[in-house]
Amino acid sequence: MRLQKCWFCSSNIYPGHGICFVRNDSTEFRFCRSKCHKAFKKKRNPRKTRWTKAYRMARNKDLSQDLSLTFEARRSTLPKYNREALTQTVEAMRKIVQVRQKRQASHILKRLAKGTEMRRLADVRSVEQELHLVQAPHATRKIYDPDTKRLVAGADAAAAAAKQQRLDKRATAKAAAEARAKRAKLRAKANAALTLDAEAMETEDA
Amino acid sequence: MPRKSQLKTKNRPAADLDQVAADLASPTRTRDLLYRQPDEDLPGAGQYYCLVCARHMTDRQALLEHRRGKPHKRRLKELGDKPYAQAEADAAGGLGVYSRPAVGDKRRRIVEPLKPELSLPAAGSSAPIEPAATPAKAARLVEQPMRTGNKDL
Repeated sequence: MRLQKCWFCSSNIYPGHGICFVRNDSTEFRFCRSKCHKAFKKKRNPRKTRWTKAYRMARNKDLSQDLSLTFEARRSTLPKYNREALTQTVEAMRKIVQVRQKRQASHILKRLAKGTEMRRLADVRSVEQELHLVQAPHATRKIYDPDTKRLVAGADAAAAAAKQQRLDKRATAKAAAEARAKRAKLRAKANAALTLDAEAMETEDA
Repeated sequence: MPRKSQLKTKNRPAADLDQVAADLASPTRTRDLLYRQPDEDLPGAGQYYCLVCARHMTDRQALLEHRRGKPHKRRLKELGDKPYAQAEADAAGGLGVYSRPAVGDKRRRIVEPLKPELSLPAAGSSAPIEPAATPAKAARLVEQPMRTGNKDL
């Protein structure tokens, strides 16, 4: 019994299954089922079709380049029956399958670990680069508190800033009032002089 | 996705990508395809052949126009990859040693050969083109590097 591999998905083709297309240059294309045959006719590329073995191997999603995968072979001559060799082979097959499963599992774990590490690094990067979205840069600035005569940060700084703002406002208002009073004084003085002048003119006329 | 009629076996293209890759890899085959005896059954008497698309064009203008088109460029790009074959399917399925095909930047860049007299600017549309390869011309074609970065080959 000869098992063929599907041209598209690389699965085994057992006798009586699948279909074979022979191109006019006598190249054979064997397919395990109509799904693969249709994909071939639609000119899908097995390397780019996610569910094929060729895709998974090309992207290193499955274990490759491993000694436990090299036991399958196509032989052109039948080995002669030998009871001892047969029992040994059957025993070896069991062991090889175990080893292969173990290695495939560790391959997957290794890939997953890499993903975890990459996500961790991405998080670190995001904290370094995007902290300003969470905490405003001004929030950490230190401000002079006139009462305690110290530089303060955080909530104290906010309070100090508000206090300073109030003081500034008061000072501004005071300065404005003083300026107003000064202007009124000057105006009164000028008015007084004007009245004096008028009185003097009246007396001269008289 | 190709049209439904194109999926029929009788409407398959003259050559699949792996066959074209084999044509391009063999200088003698390339020369034979480009410089063939005039054949009145072929479009343009078989003198205006696009190696990459395995198609005969009617004249020089049509060939140059075709080479500017998207289907041709897409096929050229696909040719940069190693052609997929049963051996790769076998190896991926555990039969034989699998070697990962080059992808992305490692992909080869193919520049398809063109008859030198076709790439020259047109002296006149009725300018005769020599049908068969002279030995000098054939030698020149073989000497040309087929996989270089030179666009204006």
